Parts: sequence; C-alpha cells; structure tokens
Amino acid sequence: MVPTTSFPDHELIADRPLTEDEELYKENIIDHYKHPRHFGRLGKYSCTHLEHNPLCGDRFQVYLSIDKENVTDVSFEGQGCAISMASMSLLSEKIMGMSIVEVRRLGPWDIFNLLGIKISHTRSKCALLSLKAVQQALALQQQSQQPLPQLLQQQTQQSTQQPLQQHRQPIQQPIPQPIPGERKTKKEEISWL
Amino acid sequence: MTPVAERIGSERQGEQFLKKKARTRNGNKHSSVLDLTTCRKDFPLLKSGIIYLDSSATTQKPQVVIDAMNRYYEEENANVHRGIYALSEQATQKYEQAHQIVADFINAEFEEIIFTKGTTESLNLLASSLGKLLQPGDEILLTEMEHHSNIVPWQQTAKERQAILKYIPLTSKGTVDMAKAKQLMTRKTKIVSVAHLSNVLGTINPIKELAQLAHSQGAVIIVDAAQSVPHMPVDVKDLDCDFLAFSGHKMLGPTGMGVLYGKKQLLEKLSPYQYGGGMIKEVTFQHSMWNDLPWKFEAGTPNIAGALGLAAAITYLKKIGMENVARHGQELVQYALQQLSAIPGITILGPREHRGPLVSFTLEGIHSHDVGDIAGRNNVAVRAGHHCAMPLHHQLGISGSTRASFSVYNTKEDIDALVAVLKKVKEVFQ
Repeated sequence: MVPTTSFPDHELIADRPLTEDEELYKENIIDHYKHPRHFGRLGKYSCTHLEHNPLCGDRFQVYLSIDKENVTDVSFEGQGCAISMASMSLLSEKIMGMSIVEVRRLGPWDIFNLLGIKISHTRSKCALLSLKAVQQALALQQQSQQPLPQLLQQQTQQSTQQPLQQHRQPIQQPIPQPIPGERKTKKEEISWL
Repeated sequence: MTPVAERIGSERQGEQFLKKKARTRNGNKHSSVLDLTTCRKDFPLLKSGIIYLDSSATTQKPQVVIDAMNRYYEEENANVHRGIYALSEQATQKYEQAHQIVADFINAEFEEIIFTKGTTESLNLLASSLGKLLQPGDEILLTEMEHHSNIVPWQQTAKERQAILKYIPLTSKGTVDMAKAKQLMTRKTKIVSVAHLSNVLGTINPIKELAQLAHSQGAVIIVDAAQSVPHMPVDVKDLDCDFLAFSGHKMLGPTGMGVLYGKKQLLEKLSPYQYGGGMIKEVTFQHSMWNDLPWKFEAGTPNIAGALGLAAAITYLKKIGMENVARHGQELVQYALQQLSAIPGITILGPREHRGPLVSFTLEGIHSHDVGDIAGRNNVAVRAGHHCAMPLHHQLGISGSTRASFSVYNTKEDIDALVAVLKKVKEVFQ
C-alpha cells in the first residue's frame, strides 16, 4: 500500500488558487501517467468491470482478485488522460491488500488526496473514473451472489459487461460488388416513398 | 388555417413581401453592412477576454439575438396559432416570418421548413418517419465521419425495420471515398445520410455528386448541415438534397432551436413524428387529420423565442454576408493549419484544402483532455475528446483529439494564443 501522506492534505491545497499548470501536472502524476503501475490483465481474477467516461473517451477495465475479505491482487487496462490514468494507477497501489469493505467505503476525497492536487468539477469525472470502476466491479461481484429479477439482470449484463476488446475493433463493413447492368445514370423516381 | 395565417399567406404574395424576399435572397451580393473586423464587440460574452475556439460545439451570441429573445418574453409573449387577440396574432406572425427567413436563407420554400429543437431532433424525425417506410433488407448508407446524431437514430431504425446499415469508407486524406460510394449505392439503398461538413475532420463533402448517385438508385439523400450552414452559403436547390438538418446554436442563434428542410412533395408523403396540438386540422375521439406543412411536423407549443432568436441570427449573418463569413473562415483555417503544423509532434486530422473553419489535432503522447485542460486554464477554450464521433476516432486509431473551431468573431491573434498555449502543454509533459 502506498502511503497517502506523501502529498499535502487536499483541503490545504484547495484553499489557495491554482496558479501554475505544473501544480496540476505534478511530476508524480506525469510519472504515473507515463508508467502506470498494475497495468495489464491478471491471469486469474475474481471480478472485472469496464468503466467509461463518455465525455473524453477514457475507459478502464479493472481486474480484481479477492478472497473472502480482502483484495489480493489488482490490475487494469485501458486508456485515459493524465489525471484518470494517474488516479487509476495510484488507486491500484492503494487497494492492494485492503479489505473489500474498506474499498467500498472509499470516497471522492480519498482519490483527491491520493492525487494531492486541486481537481475542477469537470476533471473530477476523470479523477473518479478509477474509483467507479473498482467499486462497480465489487458491486457486481456481490450482486451476482444475490440474483436480481430476470428483467433487471439482463439489463445489467447488457450495459456493463462488454469486454474491452469489442470497443477497439475498427468498423469494417463489407463492400458489395456492383451488379453488372444494374446501374442507371438517369434520375429515378423515389418509388418506395 | 387560422385567419392570421391566411392574412400572412396573402401578404406573402404581396408586392412588399416579394421585394423583401428578393432583397434577402440576394443579400450575399450586397456590400456587407457589418464589418468582420469589428463584429467581435457585438458579442457580450467575449468582453471577458476569453479566447473562444469552440464554435463548432456552440457559437457565442450577438446582442441582437439576445435582445430578440428578451423582447419576445418582455413584450410579445403569447402562444402562436391559437389566440385571436392582437398579442397572439403578432407572435404568430413573427413566428411564421422566422420560417420564411430560414427558408430564404437556404433557398427553400416556406412549407419546407420545419422547426425542431436541433439537428439531432431533425435527424430523429427522419429516422422515425422515413424509417416506417423501410422494408427488411433495405439499406441505409452513412459515411464513417458521421456525428453520433447521424448514426445512433439510424442504428435504432435499422434494428426496428431489419434494415442494413452501411458506411462509406474514407480515404487516407479524410475525404469520402467516392469510388466506394458508387459501389455501395445500389437499388437496395433507400436512405443516404451524410454530413455536409465533418465536425472532426473539417472535410466538405461533395453533396451534389452524392445526391446524384443516390437519386440514380432511387434513394433519398439527407444532409447533416449542422457545421456547414453557419459557415458558408447553402442552397438546397443547388445541392438537390431531399432533406437537410441544422441547429440554431451553432450559427449565433439560441440552443433548443433547429431546422429540418425537406422537399415539399416528400414531406407530404411522410407521417408525423410527434402527435398533439398544433399538428392537426381536425380531431375526433378515434381519428385525426394532419395539418398542412410545415405544421404537420410541429406538435405542441414550439420554441417561439428560439425561432425569433434564430431569425435574428440569420439576419445578422446576412448583414455580414455568407460569402464574407466563408472567406473569413478560410483565412483563419489556412492560418491555423500553417501555424499548428510547425509544432513538433502534432498530427492534424483531415484534408488540407476544401475544408471548413475547424482544425482537429493530436499531440504525441498527450491526451486531448490534458491539452484542453491546460488550454482552458490559460483562457483558451478548445474542445477535447471524440467530439461525438467515437466510431471515426476508433477508425483513426486515436482515443480523442483536440479541436479548435472558428466563427465570425475569431481573429488570427486567437490562433496565435492557441499556438502559445500548445507550447506550454508540451513543456508540462516534456
């Protein structure tokens, strides 16, 4: 677990205005962005979840390995901006070995403290994507042990359980060959209307 | 028709009306009343000093547009097509005039202009009403550069009608592959729906050629003109498109206000999109008779203030002259391309020529959201992300891009400010 005290308390920072870009993009954040920890896919995992930020196209798939009470291993794949990537990387370090109850209790301020910088309203969506992904993965794991009514279950599966791979495939449309003699150059009536 | 509408109808044929119409239609050829170098002062929000480079998302509004809308609520507020008292008659007249102003602006007829809440609703209207006529196996043809609003409605229609959705691929330059377009258009193609000006690549598509191809196969062609109508003269008769959609808020007008143009003979054959008051002639407990065009497609109390705001925006643009607006946009985009391409590690998307006044780009190793954030902190407003065109960005193999887009109030100094801020971004991430 990474000590969270390596940054000053978030509330202290929030009290003074942000003057430099360097304030937001501290060395530590850039380092986690360029060299994310726990990046990749676990060989064996208990639960996984893909979370999107439709605003900027960030997406992370989280893999969690858990025993009865604790998170035993964690990894993630995906792409995002410096804030979301650093947040995902820092959070992965933090939750290693934490109890599931503790992880589910983490709130926005824990993430802001991890990042150690002032986060604007819009960027908080980037910062909190990591937490959403991890907590949703755990929530779905718990849900699967208490089945929902069938109708709702189908919806949950449709909306959340798409593997990341699907989103990366470029759109390929088959191109039909023209049928000889079928083409006409003159303007046709729009007969189907 | 109500007595008011009849009166306006007869006025429309009157001498005064024709004179006015001739004047507005030839507006572009007249010397411009508004000067582009000074029009920035007409936009109250810009007085804050913001470098606003996100006009493809929404433009700022000139005072005349804000005034037109305020005047309606302060002095003219009444429902349209309903009251027979003077206030309502005046509101009705102004609302109908707004249709005529829009019609003149794109060289359409009064009956061919339907007011919607935006391009998205205009396209949804078509996906719904045209969709009802599709048979299983019919094909809908889009391009790979479409905005979500010109993809998602068709996906749903295709699913409901068991129709097939196909995409015309792009060339490496970011233009529509016309050879592939020819192959893809067959007798099975019923609907072709394409952007006039790509909101990501800036590409201006050859609508006339695509319309010809579509018509030769008996298909209808729909033009998503959200990005073109604000920046260049658009003539629906010249394009020979069957339908054309655009939004008010991207052309100096208000949000929640959009337009659908459709050829009269086609609109007459379509069934309504929404049902309720205003779109009917007669209602019994079991059946209803639809109103005349364009009201058949305008159910419920419309966005009256929005319509008056859009009319004011068009009047303002005409005072500048759309030829001048287009020339100004070209000057800015060519300058931007030249300045931006000198930055190491930048990749500019889309073609270099024959493009609209916007530039999307990526900076190597830096996420567009970080670029947008640092720019924003330095008072430069640019768009970051996928710009509602996720499939295109996936196809290009990038997660997002940064976009700078221009309008009448932008200057070369704004672009210099952008270049300076991009250098700062690179320093932070070096």
